[in-house]
This record gives sequence, structure tokens and C-alpha cells, in this order.
Amino acid sequence: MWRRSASFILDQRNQDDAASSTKPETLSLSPLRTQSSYMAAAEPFNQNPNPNPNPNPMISAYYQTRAAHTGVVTKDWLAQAQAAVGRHPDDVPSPENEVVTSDSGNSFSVIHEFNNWRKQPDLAEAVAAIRALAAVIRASEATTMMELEIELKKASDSLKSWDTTSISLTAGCDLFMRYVTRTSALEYEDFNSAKSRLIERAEKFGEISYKARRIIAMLSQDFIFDGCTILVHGFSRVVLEVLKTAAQNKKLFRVFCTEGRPDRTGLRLSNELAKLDVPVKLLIDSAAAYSMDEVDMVFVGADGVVESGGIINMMGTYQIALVAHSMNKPVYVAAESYKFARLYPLDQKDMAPALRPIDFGVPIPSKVEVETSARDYTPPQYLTLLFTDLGVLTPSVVSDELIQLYL
Amino acid sequence: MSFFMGISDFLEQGRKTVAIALVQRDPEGWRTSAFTEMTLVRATRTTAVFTSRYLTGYGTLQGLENTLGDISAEIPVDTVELRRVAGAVTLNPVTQLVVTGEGSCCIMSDQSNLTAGTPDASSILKQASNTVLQPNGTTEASPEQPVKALSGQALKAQKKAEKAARRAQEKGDATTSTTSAATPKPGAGSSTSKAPNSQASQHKRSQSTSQKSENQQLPVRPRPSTAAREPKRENKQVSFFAHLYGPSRRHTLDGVPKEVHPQIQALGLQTSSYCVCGSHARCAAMLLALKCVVQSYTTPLGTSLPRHLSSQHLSPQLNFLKSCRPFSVSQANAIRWLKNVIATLDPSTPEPTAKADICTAIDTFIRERLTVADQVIAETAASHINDGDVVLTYAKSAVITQALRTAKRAGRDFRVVVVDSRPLFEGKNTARALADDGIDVSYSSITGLTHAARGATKCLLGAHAVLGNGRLYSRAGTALVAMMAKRMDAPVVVCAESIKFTERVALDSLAMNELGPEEELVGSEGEGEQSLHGWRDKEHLQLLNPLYDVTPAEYIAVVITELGSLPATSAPVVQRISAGAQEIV
Repeated sequence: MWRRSASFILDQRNQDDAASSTKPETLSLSPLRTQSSYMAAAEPFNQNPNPNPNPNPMISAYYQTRAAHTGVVTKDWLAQAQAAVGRHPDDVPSPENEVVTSDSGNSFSVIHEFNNWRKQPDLAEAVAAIRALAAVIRASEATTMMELEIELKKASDSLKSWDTTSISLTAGCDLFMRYVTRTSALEYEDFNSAKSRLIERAEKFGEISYKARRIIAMLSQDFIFDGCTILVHGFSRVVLEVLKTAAQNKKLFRVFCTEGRPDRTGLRLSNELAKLDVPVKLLIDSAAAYSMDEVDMVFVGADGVVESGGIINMMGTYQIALVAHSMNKPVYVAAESYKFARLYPLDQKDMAPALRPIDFGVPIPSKVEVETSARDYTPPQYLTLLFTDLGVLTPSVVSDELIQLYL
Repeated sequence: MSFFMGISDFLEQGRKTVAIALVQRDPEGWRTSAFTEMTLVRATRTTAVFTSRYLTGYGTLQGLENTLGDISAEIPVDTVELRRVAGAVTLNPVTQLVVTGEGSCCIMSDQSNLTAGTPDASSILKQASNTVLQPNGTTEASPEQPVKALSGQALKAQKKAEKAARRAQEKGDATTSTTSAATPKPGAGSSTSKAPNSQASQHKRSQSTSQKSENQQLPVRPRPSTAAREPKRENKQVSFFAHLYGPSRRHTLDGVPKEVHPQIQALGLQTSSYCVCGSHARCAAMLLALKCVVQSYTTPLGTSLPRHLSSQHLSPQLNFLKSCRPFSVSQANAIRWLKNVIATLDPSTPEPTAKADICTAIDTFIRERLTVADQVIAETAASHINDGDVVLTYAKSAVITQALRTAKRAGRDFRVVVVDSRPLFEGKNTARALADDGIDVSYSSITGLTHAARGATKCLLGAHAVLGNGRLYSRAGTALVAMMAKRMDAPVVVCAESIKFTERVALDSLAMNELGPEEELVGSEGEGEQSLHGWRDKEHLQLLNPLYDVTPAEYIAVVITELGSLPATSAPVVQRISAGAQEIV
């Protein structure tokens, strides 16, 4: 008989593959395992011909980084919460990532370059990708625009294939490539000036990325009114910026933070907000419906905004949007325009799965399956507005913008 | 041998030109492989040899190939068996021939109004060959050759009268009844007897090409004689849809202006009989036929190609096509593009270059906007089909079939449910084609939709057009299938080339639609009580056969175009880009 869900079969197939190559224990969920040990465990299995050494195909690199930057992982939580009182948690170096980049080889590699940039917690992944591509331009010995373009294409393809689960990485690469193909050497007197123009442009992207957050924060101020209650899911730098700006503008509001399992990114956000003296209440993820009647609006970030106008975001966003929709609460998404991706998922399983380990605190019997997806897809009909640096958009405008961007 | 007698009939009447369709049997049934006007060279006891200026090779919609040149066809008589078509014989007993043989079938006729909507004749013909064909009513084949003694002016007037008579008759057929008893018997000499009727057509018709001589006739109250003869009949138009009734579809070549190219004539009949069916196929076939028109065009003295070609020469062709079946949105878009191409030509370009430019542009257009677009769409759509999917689809769409094939070739393991409905049963074609490719197909009628849709995980639909408000205008029944898919939580995927997007807007299927011939709903005579035979004579009975319906945008999860995937709400963007691209191409 035919199964209802296609990806069930696909997931199972992946799992079978994984079981045959690695022992299932590598996925076991003991709290003692840290990221580096995952990567270390996966190292021996990387002898495949793939030139792009993704540390572990079973774990999404993108969500690993996110967890490192924004998550609170069990044991560190208390320490960090105490430390947060004294100093800025951003300054805490993330030692796990050193493992990845320690072996910067003899030859230039765009992936190493990317990983170096990626370590910076305040730098968006798309910007890191663009900076890495800029480094490719700088290191390039090409003498014509065409050669450079081919070289860049290769680099961006290898970046994209290094982590297929990261939407903003793909979007950033696509966006920059789009810009490169539009910049023809003919417009400038010679190749070198075109080249420096490209580098300059790539550098600018970092500023644009930060500026985008400022613009979004400004745009969203009109929507936050005194006395409102905002539900926030997960940790998003843009949403934090929005709330920070609102607090600076002396708006009186309170925030409900979901816990954001399994990375507990919500705890981190509640920390940050507590520092700003914003009243915060922490909820467990399953309390979204329970507390929705007190909520005036839902604010979420996005890992990627897709062509349908829907968003791909941390697991749990979809259910919160559904609950909010059914209780007629507006759902606002804050996302920079470089997160717009040329993807069109039809349903939850219509994306490359991004997996990550989940810590249940207790050992899980090996017969029990664990859903390890890191993200879900929220269809556009459940979103009210998207705050982007292009303006405040309805979901349907996103695809208009995307089509015009890429045509 | 009866075939031979038929040929000798032609020879006796001194006619040399006949229209011939060569129909070949392929796995999908009878297909017109060539339609041409042929000249009889010689007839022996065993063979009849014809030559022709034109040979056209459509029929199968892929690989539409055209050749222009002199050909000769040899039809072996010994494998040929003559069959008289009952309905056609009543109209024209002498010259209507259907010849069937091993793998080939040939209908020949001259100058008759074969099956102008007569249901029995058309159904028989459909059985015989799926094709109806008529020769051009041009002058050299007509029996009025003896009037050569008349002056040129008088001859012109007479021809005008003839043409008017034919139109009058056609009109009469359309508005009253098609019973053969009421039809004046056509054939040799009959046109002169129809001459008194000819004043009937004072209505100015755009198709008329001899308007300058129209003012020679005095205005007379229209159709006095027919009105007197015919008993008053009940209006068979459903009043709510009255705005959709146009002139009934043309099934014959009667009264075709002589400028209409044989390719266009053939295509017209193929579209009116659904031999060429589907928005994509009709658009491609029309462009190829228009290419032939352009190739055989010569600019008259005193005018330039950009000025004359589209306004003077193409209009009659397009009007003829339109009278066979109203244009699809894709056809309308393609025509707009072609006219723009011609209009923007530099008038100083030498004619051969200009013609070659237009032909190249048409070829590019077909490749980019139809062929390659379909490939891109099929690949995108196939990427959405995963292992274990159950794909629901409705009727027939070339691009959907292609998408499912692509998915199969990519090794996906899925099943297809084809839902189909009366009267066209296009889904049978889809089901067979997919099953041939090794895809598991279940076929079900739309009446069993609730059951068929159960367990569906995706719904793939083709489009006739995508409207400006994101609604889908497609084969009647699509809305029902989309609604059911939505109900079953299966995302509805619409595949449409950008040429199918229109800025027109409709909220329901009433405002714009095309009505098919009611006869399609009647059923065959053999069904007895089950059939609605003779419905035109039954009081209080009206039939309605709308061909399209409108699916609300809320049901549609994604529209896949060659420009990318987008929600239905972004349809205007595609329309803008597509219209803009048309100007650039």
C-alpha cells in the first residue's frame, strides 16, 4: 500500500544508510556529548570522494552554528546566565568551532574562509558566505571577467554543497553571483577596477546586513504599541534588535519567550531582554496555545523566506503560527532581504532535511525513533506581514520581489 | 471497384482537383497525417495518382514538421475499400467518398457541406477517421465553369452571390436546425438555385473579402423565405449563458475566402474537431501554420510587408481559424506577439530577408516559450514528486504528462490517479501514455472523485490560462478536482507556461467561457432511451456544454512557470514579464 507521507520513506532510507555506515549510537542523545565530539566521531566517515568535507552529513552545520551562537546547551546554561549579568555573552569565544578551522591547509579554500567568518556571532551566514566569496576574488589569479566568474561559480557551488541545509548560505551565494553576472567588465575601464568593485561590494554587504537590521527595527516600531504582549519564538538577532529598539524608544511591552527546545535559544533571548529591563516570561514550547489569548502579536525571525512568501524557521514556528492564526493574532516575521531564497516547499517534507541532535536528558532506547528535524515551513497564509529592509511586505509580495530580483 | 467509380465520377464531371486527407492509424487511433488539395493526374485500374503543391505533416503534435513542395501520392486501389458515409451521402450522394484501407484512409469530397453539424454524420465520420475535410471552394473546381462567357464584372457579381448564399445557408443551419431535410441539396448547379437567398447576408462580416462589391446589392429584409418555411422553434440557448453563444463552430470549408492558406484550412478543421486540442498544441500548430503562410506570401505592389502582411493577409487566416474554434489565451498572446514582430520590421528590409526573419522569430518563439518552457516546468514539477507520492491529475495536459515522465525517469516511485470526465475523455490519453511509461495509473471518472482523491498527496493540474487574479482557467471539472485536493490536504500544483498568463480577470466561470457543441453531450443513437437524440425538437430541453471553469486561487499552492515557481497571487508579475519579453524577443 502507499504511504501517506513520502518523506517518511525517504527519512527511513537515510536512516538505513546511516545505520549501515555509522553505528546508530553516534546519534544517541547522551548529554555529555558536545558538538566537537560529534564532529570527531564523524571524521572517519569522511573518506568519500566528496571534495567538500561537511563534518557530519547527519547534522546540519547551519544549526550547529546557530546553537553555538545563540543556544544554551544544558550545562553551560547556568554558567552563562550568571556570566550574562557581568559581561556580554557575545564575547565568549566558542571553543568548539576551533576544531573545524584548525587545519587551515596550505592552499586557499573557500570553505575554510567561510568557516572563519562564520565564527563571528554577529555576522549572518549569508554575509559570511559573501565575505568568503570576496576572499576568492582577492586570491584569484584570473585575468578576465569570464575566468573570474567561472572561478566564483565553482567556489559558490562548493560552498552551497558544503551545507545544503543552510538556506541563507545558498541565498547569499546566489545573490552575490547574481550581482557578479550583472557586473560586466565592460562597464569599467579594465578588469582590475571591476574586480575591486566586486570586492568593495562584498565588503559592503556586511554593513548592509547590519543596516538591514536597523531598518527592520525602525519599520516595526509602528506595530509595537504600549501595553502589548509579544510572543517570540527562538532567538533571532533581528527580533532582538526590534525589541531592543522598542525598549530604547521607551515603549511599554512585555515579551513571552518560548523555551526553544532543543537549543533553548529562547532562554538566551530572555537573558538579553532581562538585561534591557523588558518584562519577560518564559514558556515551554508546548504552552504556546495556553498563553496565546494573552498575546497581542507574534514576532519570529526566519532562517529563510521562500518564494511562496512562507518562511522556514526553527522547529515550532509553524505550530505557533497556526495557533495565532486560529486565535486571530497577527504573526510578524522579521527577516533581512538576503534571506529570500529561491525555494518553493509544498509541504513540510518538501525540503532537504536539516537534522541536529536532541538532548532528552535521559538515554533513549535504540528502538525509539527521534524526529531530529531542526526546522519547519510556515505557509504564507498563516503570516500577516514580513518586515524586511525592502519595506513591510505582505507574503504575496515576496515572490514578486524574488522574481524581479532573479530575472 | 467502387473507389474507381468514385474517381471516374470526378473525371466525368470534368474535375481535376480534389481534397484529400491521408489518415494513418497509429496506436492512438486515426490521425490525419496529411491534408492537401490534390490534382488528379491519372487513374488506372490499380492506382490513382495525385499531385499537390502542399503536403503538410501535422497530426502528431510532437515534431510538427512541414514540407513545402511538389509531391505526388499514389493510392493503391486493390487494398482500398469504399465506404459511403450515411450522413454525408444524404447531403451529397455523388462525390462524398471515404476510402479505407490497410493503415490508410482517405476522405475525398468536393464542394459539399459535409456534416455541417449534423450529428449522425459527424459521429460516423469521427468513427471513420476522426477527421472531416473539405476542399477549398475555389473557383477552378466549381461547376460554374460554363459561365465564362459572362463579362468579368458579371462573373464577380455571380461569385459574390454564391458566397453569400453559402453563408446564408450556414447561418440558417446555425440558428435553426441541422436536419438534412431542411438543408437545400447542394451539389452541381444548386448554387444558382440558391441565388434568391443570397441577399440574406447583408450583415457585414469581417471575413468578407469582397466588401467593395457589397453596395451593389439592395438592402432586403433578412431571410424572409427561411423564416416563412421553418416552423417557430424554441430557443435552445440557455438564457443565463446567452452572452457566451457565438456563431456555431465551423466544420466545413464552405465559403472560405480564397486567401486562406491550405495549412490554415486544415488546422481550422483539426481544431474544430479536437484533432488538435489543448492550449499548447493549438498555439504551436497555429504558429507553424502561420509560418507557412508567411513563407508563401508575396507583397503586392504599392505596399510594404509590415503594413500589408498582418492587417490584410493574416486577418482572413486568423478569422477563419477563429470561426473554427475561438482562440485560446496562448494563441491570442502568440498572435499579439507575431503582429508586433511584423509591425516592428524595418519597411526597407527586402522581402525574402523579412520573411526569413519572421520565420526565425516564430521558430525561436516556439522553442523558447513552448518547447523549452515545458521542459523547465516539467523538471521543476518533477522535483516536487517524491517517493511514495500519489499524484492526482485531471484530463490531459502535455506538460503534466511530461513532468510525470521526468519524475519516473529520475527513479521516483509514485502512483498517478487520472480523473476524467465526459464528453471529451481526454484523460484516457494521459492514462494510456503514463501506463506505457511504466507508471502505475488508476483511471476514474469525475463522478468517483471523492473515492479517487483519497490518499492523494499531490495534485498536478494543467492550465488553459492563468488569470490576472491568480485564478486558474482550465478544462471544466478542474475546479472540482482542486477543491477536493485541497480538502484532502494535497497541495495543488499548477503547471503553466508564461504564455498562458493573461491580464483578464474572472471571478466565476460564467463571465468568460467557451461553449462546446451541445451534440457532444447527446450520446450515440444506439443508446436508445439513454441518449438525448433529437433534443432540438424536444420542448423544454436545453443542453449546455461549457468547456472551461475557474478555480479559486486559494486552492492553488503553487503555479510553476518557466520563470520559476510562484504563488497564484503573483500571476500579474509573470504576465507583465511575459508581455515584456514578447516585445523583446
